[in-house]
This record gives sequence, structure tokens and C-alpha cells, in this order.
Amino acid sequence: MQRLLFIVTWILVLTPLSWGVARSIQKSMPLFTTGAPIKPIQAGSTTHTNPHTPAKP
Amino acid sequence: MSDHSPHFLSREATVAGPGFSRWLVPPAAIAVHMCIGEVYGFSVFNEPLSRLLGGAAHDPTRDWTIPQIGWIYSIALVLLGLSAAVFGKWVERSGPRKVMVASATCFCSGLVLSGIGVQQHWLWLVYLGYGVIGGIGLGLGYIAPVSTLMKWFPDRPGMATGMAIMGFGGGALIGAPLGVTLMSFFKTATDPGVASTFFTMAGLYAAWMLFGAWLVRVPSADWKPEGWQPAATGSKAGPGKAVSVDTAWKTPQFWLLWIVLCMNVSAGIGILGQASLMCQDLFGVSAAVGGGFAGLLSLFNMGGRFLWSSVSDLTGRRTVFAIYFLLGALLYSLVPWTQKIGSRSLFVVVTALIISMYGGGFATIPAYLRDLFGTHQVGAIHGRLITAWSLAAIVGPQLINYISTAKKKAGVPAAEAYNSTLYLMCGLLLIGLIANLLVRPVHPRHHLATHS
Repeated sequence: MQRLLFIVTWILVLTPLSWGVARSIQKSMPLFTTGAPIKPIQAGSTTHTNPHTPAKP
Repeated sequence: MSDHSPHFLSREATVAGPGFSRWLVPPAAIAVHMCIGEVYGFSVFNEPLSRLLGGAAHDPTRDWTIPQIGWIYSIALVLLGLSAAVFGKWVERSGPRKVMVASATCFCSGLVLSGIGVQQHWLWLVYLGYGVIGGIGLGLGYIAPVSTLMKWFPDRPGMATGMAIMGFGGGALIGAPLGVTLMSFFKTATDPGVASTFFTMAGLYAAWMLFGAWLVRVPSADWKPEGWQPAATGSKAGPGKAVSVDTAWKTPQFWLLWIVLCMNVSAGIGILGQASLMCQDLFGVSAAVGGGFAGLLSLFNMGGRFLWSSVSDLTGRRTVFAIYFLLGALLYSLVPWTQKIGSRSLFVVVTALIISMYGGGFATIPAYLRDLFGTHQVGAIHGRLITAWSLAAIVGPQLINYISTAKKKAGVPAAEAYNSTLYLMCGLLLIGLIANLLVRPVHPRHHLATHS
């Protein structure tokens, strides 16, 4: 009984965590797949591609 | 049930019977932490909350502004630290189950109140719901399982707390995409679906957190892992040496660790808070690539919590924090060089390592407290230490934004505007290193004489 509870509880916590990890890996894919050429950065430039990126601690 | 049966929520009712597997306690802790960790993913609601009335086009005369919305997250983090500090002793007294239920009640009712606030467009109710009441739930849920885990794993306290606190890091990985998925499911032509998302999340999180509360157990007073002897761990605070929370926070050791945590968090936020933007500015990559970089850092933030805290069981807490600070400072100083040589992959490796140590700091600090003050009231002491995180999480990003924006305005190229910030981070880490090196075992006069 305790072994069954052990399996069920770990599945219950690892399933959402794995989903989150999989989504995060999916999100990070462009970092490895996009061969974006490095753009020259202008002196004094204050413009960004995505100025509304939220800050996350 | 007999009249003398302890109440289901009481500490007595959670004492494990013979044969209970201690490996059932980490999932209980993770269940709570991965729910409250949702707060890290709150930024996905920023844009939708800013166009509740104006629709796709933000209406500045009626809609909430992004800075106004930003306060929701800030209030929640402040209340996290305050509630952990204020309720720490109650947490120790009441046992983990009652506290986990209280945490679930506060966090999920906070989400429901916020949903009503969004429906009625009452910002004060969102501040009260998600910020104040939800924030109290965060603080209670964060410290509730920590001392319980350390009592179950006296042989591997770092690994045990690392598992729970890894769950908190994982909460962001779940909360952000869950929020986006639910909003896209509920949204209509006139409603971005935020309120319904809050209500649904409240239900889902309540189920998981209450499951954790049902599962959690405390070991009986005479329990210890099979074959384990306290002296074998080399711990500075054996089971007979305990320091009360009221004494602990008056010792220099507590404040040195407060500085250690504050510096580690401030430095980590330097990268995490601006990850996407920094990657774009330094290497001229697209927003998608910048977002991918931020996603990768979240993974290392989570993984580092488990990995580094487990390493601390082998090396000792002081050594592992010295590694965080020394290696961290060295890596921060290398970031401008990676940009100079145009190596994006090296930049990713360096920053990922930095973030893994940022997460590791969170996960290792409870075991450090346990080494110094014993397990007697370590949850309450941890609660008071968390105020360092609250402060760093609020002040750190503001400081970094201010410096990098001022540099850009002064005409410094975008790619170089981060250099001062990065060197500032090195300085913060070196302050943390000094504080860490000054930590000494707590003087025996502070130990509780009657504790056994």
C-alpha cells in the first residue's frame, strides 16, 4: 500500500514539473536553433527588440 | 473516532507511525512549493491586466498601467518575507499540516479575490487579494515544510530542502505557461480571460496544496535514519544543541547569513531580471532568442537548487557558499569579455552557471541555519532570514534598471551599458564572500540548556 502511495505521490508532483520543464526547453529552443546574425550595435543606441520584457527575480 | 484523537490539523496527528517512508515527505513539500512558486510567473498577467477595459489597445484613461500592476507582485513578495518572519514561531508550534492548510487557504482565496477584483476592475482588491492575502500564503507555504524535511533527513539536510525549494523554482516553469494556456482558453473578444484564469488556478492549486498537507508527516521524537549517528555528519549543531529564534536573530551569525542571502539574491537578479533584454543588447539577437535564453536560465535556476544544495552535504555549507561567491564574481567579470569576443555560447554557459548558484543559495541557506542553530526552531529562523530575499527582490532590480538606463541615456552603447551593472554584481558577491567567511559556530551560551 505504501509503495503504491509512493508511486502515486511522486507521479502527481513530477508530472506538472516535467510539463513545466518541457515547456521551458521548448521556449529555449530558438537560442540553439536560430542562427541569427549578430547585428552591429550602434553607439548610444537605447532601442531594444523587446522593450517590454518583464523583470523576473 | 475517539474524543481523545488529536485534531487532523494538529501536530500530534501528523506524527508518523512506524514504517512510514520519509521519501513521502519531499513530494508533500514539492506539492506546496510548486504551487506558490507561481508568483515567479506572474509577469505573464501584466499585459492582459493592462487592457481589461480598452481591449487590444490599452486605454490610458481607464486601464491600469504596467507600474500599477507591478505593485501586485512587489506587495506579494514583501508580504512573503514579513509573514514568514512574523508567523515563523507559530509555524514551528503548529506543525506543517495546519500551516500548509493555512497557506493554501490564503494563497487560493487571494487568487479568487483577485479574480473578483479583475472582474469589477478594482485594483485595490487585487492588491489585497494577490498581494496581501496571497503574499501571506506564500510566506507560510515557503517555510512550512523546511524544518520538517530537515528533521526527516538529518543525514542529508541540504538535499532535502533543495528538493522543496527546487519545487518553488519549478513553480514558475509551471505557473507561467499554465497562465498563458488558461487565458487563451478563456479569452473572448472583450475579455482577456484573466479572472477566469485566476479562479481556475485557485481550484487547481488548492487541490495540490491540500494533497501536500494531507501527505506531510513529522518524525516521532526518537526517530532517526537507520544506521545514522549524529556525530557522523560533522554538523556544528548536534541534536542537543539548539538555539531559539528569539536568541538566534540577536547573534552575529544570523545577520552575517542575512547579508549572505541578500547579496546572493541581489546578484542573481542582476542577470535574471534582464536576461532576455541583456541577450538581445549584447548579441543583437531577436526577441525569440532572448526569450529562449530567459527560459534556459529558469531551468538552471531550478536545477541548481537541488544540485548545489546536495553538494553542500558533502562539502559543508560555508565552502559551497564560498564557491558561489568566488566563482560567481569571476563569472560575472567574464560576461563583458564573452560579448567582446562575440561568443554567444560562452555567454550562455557563464550565465547559466551563475543562475544555478543563485538558485543554489536559496536551497542551501536553510541547511546552513540548521548547522548553526539546530533544527529546534529552524523554520522560524529561516522565516526571519527571508526578509533579506524580500528586500533584495524589490531593491535589486530597481537598482540595476536605474544604472543600465542611466548609462544608455548617457550615450554608452547598449552592449556596454551592462558592464557597470555586472561589475557591481561582482562587488555584491565579494561582500557576501566576506560575510560568509566571518561566520563562526554559535557560542554555547546561546544554546537552549533544556533542549535534548
